[in-house]
Amino acid sequence: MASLQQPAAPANERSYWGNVWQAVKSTAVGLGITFRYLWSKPFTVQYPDEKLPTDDRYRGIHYLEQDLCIYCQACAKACPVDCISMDAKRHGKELEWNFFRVDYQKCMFCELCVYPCPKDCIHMGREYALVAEDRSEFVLELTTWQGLTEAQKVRVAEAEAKKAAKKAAKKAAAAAKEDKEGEEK
Amino acid sequence: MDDTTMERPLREGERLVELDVRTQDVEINMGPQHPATHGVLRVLLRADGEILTGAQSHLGYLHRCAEKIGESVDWLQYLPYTDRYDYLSAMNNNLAYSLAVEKLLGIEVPERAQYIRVILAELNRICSHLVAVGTYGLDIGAFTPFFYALRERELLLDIFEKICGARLTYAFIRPGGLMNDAPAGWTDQVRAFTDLFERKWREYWDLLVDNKIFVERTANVGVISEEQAIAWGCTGPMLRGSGVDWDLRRDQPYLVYDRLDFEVVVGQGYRGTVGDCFDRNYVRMYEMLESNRIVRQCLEQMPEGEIQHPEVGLVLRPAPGEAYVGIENPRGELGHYLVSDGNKIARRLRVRGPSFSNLALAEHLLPGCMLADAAAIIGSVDIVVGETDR
Amino acid sequence: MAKDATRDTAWGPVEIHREAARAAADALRSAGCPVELHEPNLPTYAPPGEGKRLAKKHKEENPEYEWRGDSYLLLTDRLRLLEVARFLRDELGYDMLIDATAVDFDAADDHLWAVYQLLALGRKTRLTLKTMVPKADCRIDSLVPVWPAANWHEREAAEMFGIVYTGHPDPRPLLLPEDWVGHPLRKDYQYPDEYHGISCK
Repeated sequence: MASLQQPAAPANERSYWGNVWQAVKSTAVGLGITFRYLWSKPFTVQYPDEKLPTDDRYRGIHYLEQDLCIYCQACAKACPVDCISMDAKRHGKELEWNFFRVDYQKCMFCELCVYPCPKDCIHMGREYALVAEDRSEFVLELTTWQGLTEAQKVRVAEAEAKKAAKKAAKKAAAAAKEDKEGEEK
Repeated sequence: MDDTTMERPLREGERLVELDVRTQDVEINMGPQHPATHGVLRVLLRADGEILTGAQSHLGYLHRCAEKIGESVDWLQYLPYTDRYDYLSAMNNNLAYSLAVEKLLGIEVPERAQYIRVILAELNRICSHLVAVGTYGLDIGAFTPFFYALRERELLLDIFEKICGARLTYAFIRPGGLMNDAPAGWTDQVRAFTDLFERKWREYWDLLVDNKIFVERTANVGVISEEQAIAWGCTGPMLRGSGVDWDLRRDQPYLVYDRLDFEVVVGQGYRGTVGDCFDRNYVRMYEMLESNRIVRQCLEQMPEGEIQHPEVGLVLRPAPGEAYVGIENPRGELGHYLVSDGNKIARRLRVRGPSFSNLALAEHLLPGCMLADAAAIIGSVDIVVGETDR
Repeated sequence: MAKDATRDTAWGPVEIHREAARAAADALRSAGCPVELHEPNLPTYAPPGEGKRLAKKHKEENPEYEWRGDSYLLLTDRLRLLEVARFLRDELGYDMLIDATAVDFDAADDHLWAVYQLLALGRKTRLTLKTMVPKADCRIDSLVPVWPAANWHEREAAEMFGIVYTGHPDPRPLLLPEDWVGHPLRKDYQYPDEYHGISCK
């Protein structure tokens, strides 16, 4: 059997005054504990004004580092309940985000979407309170902006200009070559 | 059935309650919403006055098609679903499933991962037994010990939250190792808990288990004989409470249990007959101490190193074949029988839940008992309906 | 503490169960029972081809995998199941039925497997017993007279696979509603469109 020694047999019956003494003593001990807590700081917090801190690894509502995301859909494929949906349009290297939604009616906070991410851009956050008056409010949008940002627009324009320039240069080169060939003939 | 009727000589301390007047039988629905059934279980009781004359369990209120889901999601994607059969011991469920998949794959995880797995499984066993004993007190009328039990469970949940981020459904022990390594300071937190727990354990024992009222309600109630427990396929504290010395951790050791020193607690009729409700709780109580010892040894022996098998990625394709692995869950043997055809989705995923088999016997214990003992007997089986229905 | 139990692998002992299967097969054969012993290779540690990188390559190189797993006993004549079960319990000490289930491996197969996991507490060994149940005549003897533990497991398998367990004392559905149509774990199961007016799509 267990290594711990067996508990002691029940105590013998006490006398009448023994019982009285026992009652007084146990009441005093019990009230002593109660009074000690009366002057101690409360353990409870005034939720939702105050919140207890959650741990670093806490699995709450996701957050997305949108500038890192490359729209590879690895997280959506890894999700057992298919709660992640996303849409974006590619302009060369830049992404024009339409939406990146997580349906928290389905999500079971298993963190399986976090591991396959090649860019390490989706994380489980620390927020846990999900309260809504309508079911559609549980579908959260994780993107912070939609469409192209100003910087992206500049980059896209630059890339397009570069591409156009390259194309023009190629065309010019081809034309020059044709001219040369024509001259030779 | 013939072998389950209660026709046997009375044991010492048992009273035969007999009524001179037979009244009309009354059918009582215990559940599906009843605090003592620990979930949505419905037991249809038939009572003649205060004496039960029949009982029938109706399952399926929490049936979530786990086995069918297993045939439609990836091997790894099924992991969060394992949390949900026995939600009080989710770490053990993860472990059982991961071991079965690893058997299909033919891999053994690194040693550090094995030690962390054992620590988590044993802490989860303490966590689960705390709820089992605490709510059992609640079932039969002792309100306070429940809060004492949940106080220590809170510390354990903090430990789990620190390592995996979740407090109930962990999805942490994955095929191939662990999701993450233990963070800094985690082992110290576990060590502090093990030191604290032995002191606190004494409180539950004095307050609840060795309480005269508790003993009166549980001793000699719902006695399961050794033969009955074996024939009905009971496992875990149900089997050990009936005096059968069987523990998969010792008798079919997996992970690193063969290097750890612990005792298998067997019911011995400390306050009544062997195999009564008291013995099942007695086994759970002492198992918590043994788990505590195991955790302490693991912390000492745990090596540094990898926590993940290097070959195992996120999409698994086990070779065609089959594997059965059963491990010792807090409630008994949790087995997974997996059949693979070489693809990334299981061909058949069978879950053998301990509560399922244990509950099958419970309805045969009830006829002949007092109506008030129904809660005591069903509570002592310690079912989690998530597992009986899956 | 008794340290006599063997641990071959991280998922539990293996060799002891293989030997037990061999011994059980010999004993059953000498008693005239129609059993075959199947001893597929166990997976080895970290075999090439199981990892994410090598899986695809390995599959292309070896399109035909061999079946792997524990040894099991295959009962060739399913009508003698009760007799074999009694022999296993009384003569060989398999006193506990851990699990009774069925497998529909492929919709094109003409049979289901009935799989029983047995445990001998005295000798600490496990045994897997399998038998084939033709889908055309889907009935098999109930093992409740031998191991009462089979009761609920068989009820579950009956509703999920449509196997009729003859001689079962209580053949009601267990987990599904009584009016559920079809057997959900069959591979040819069609999902219902609606159930009592509730759309299932």
